[in-house]
Amino acid sequence: MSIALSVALYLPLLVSVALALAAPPVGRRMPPRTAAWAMACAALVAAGTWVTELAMLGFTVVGQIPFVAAQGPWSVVALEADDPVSRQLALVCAGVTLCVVVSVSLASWQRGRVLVGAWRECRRLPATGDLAVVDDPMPSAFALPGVPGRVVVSSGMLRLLDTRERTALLAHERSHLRNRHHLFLLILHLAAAVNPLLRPVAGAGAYAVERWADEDACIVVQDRPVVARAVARSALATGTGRPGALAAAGGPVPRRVRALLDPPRQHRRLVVVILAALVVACCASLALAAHDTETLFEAAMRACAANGHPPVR
Amino acid sequence: MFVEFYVFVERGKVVDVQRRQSFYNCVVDWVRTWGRRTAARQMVRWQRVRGRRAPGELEAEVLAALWSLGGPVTASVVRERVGDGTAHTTVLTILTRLCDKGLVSRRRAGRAHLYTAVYDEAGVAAAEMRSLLPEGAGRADVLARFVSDLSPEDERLLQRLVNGHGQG
Repeated sequence: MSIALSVALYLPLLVSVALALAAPPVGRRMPPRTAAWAMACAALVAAGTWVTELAMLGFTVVGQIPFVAAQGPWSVVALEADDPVSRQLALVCAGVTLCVVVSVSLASWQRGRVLVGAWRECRRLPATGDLAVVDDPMPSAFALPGVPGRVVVSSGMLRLLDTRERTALLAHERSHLRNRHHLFLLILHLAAAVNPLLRPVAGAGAYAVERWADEDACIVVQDRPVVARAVARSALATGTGRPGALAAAGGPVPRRVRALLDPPRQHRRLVVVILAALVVACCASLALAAHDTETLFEAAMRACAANGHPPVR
Repeated sequence: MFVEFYVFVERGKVVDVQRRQSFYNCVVDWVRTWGRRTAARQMVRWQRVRGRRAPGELEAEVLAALWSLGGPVTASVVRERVGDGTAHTTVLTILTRLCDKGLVSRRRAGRAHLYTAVYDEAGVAAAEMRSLLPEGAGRADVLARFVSDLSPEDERLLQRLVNGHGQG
């Protein structure tokens, strides 16, 4: 019985790691829009399961602190006796949970600060419609989310591209704003902060988001090579920045250009089903573990009530 | 702004176009066509086709065209740059409106006006231009830039792709 209990308690961690490892290759085989949603959901579920499970494991030892046990109330003796998790392991889990909470808070605060700072500065820019132009010879363009969102483009970028490429650029950035891609990126980044194993998922999700905007630009311009040229020429004009240590297929920009030069890929339902099954398995294993933890604490509470002991050792 | 149409494509031919009525109708249609979608017939694809432009969008494109031209130009040159069959009077109206907003300056040259895009005619904005772009203040990773930085290998790959497609 206790073996089954311990398996059920560690299962969410395993399934969460399996989801984290399986998501990027699965995402590569989906069309961009589906992939973006899939990566975001997978990241959210995997990160949520991971941190919840660690918190539960840590709580089996935190619950033995007399002050905490008095809130229950539950018997510390009974809890210590029934606890399938070793004391050291539970302490480690509690420590890791604390670290995760701190790191997520820091990450979200830092991102929020950057976004608010950028929004505040760009608010002073004169804008027409949703376009704000910055007089800078270096080509650069980004979408600034907000109410209303803005597309900020440098004059260097506008001078570099021809008419149709400019249309493609504006359509790409407007797609980011319309589909609220900053939320996708926020979820992916925070999930990666929770569990570093989710960093590939965050990378795959960010790439899928850019491809999604590229495909929307193709719909507007109705000419895929034009969008490919816009991406390629902007990237080459921006010049080399940091050295990349990325996949054999190249960094995100060459992969985007290659994907734009190829015809759009078909939708395969099987990969979506596989990922959905993993997500459901993750949630189910977490529910199971939560149920087992609840059983454990309920037994301790019953022991406390039955023996009439005060919840101290 | 998109006016959304759904174009059903089978084997490269358009078989149906539907204006997006409601999510429910789309789901019903999608379920209805499930049985007809087999491997032999190419999968039905949903595509969104652009309808009419929103008014702000055209202003943005005129401003972008003017910035891309650089120096002082006449309205007809701008109209050519905007493309898409925009009317001359429309472009003139928009340029006048942009002048009033202070985004464009204009001076008389003979019978026509010459328009130049200006960043900050009134000298109001004090922000350092370079700091706005994502490189500054740690924004590179947070804001979704159009293209990210390239490594030297990426640059070579990209050159090859561009040249290869240009010849192919």
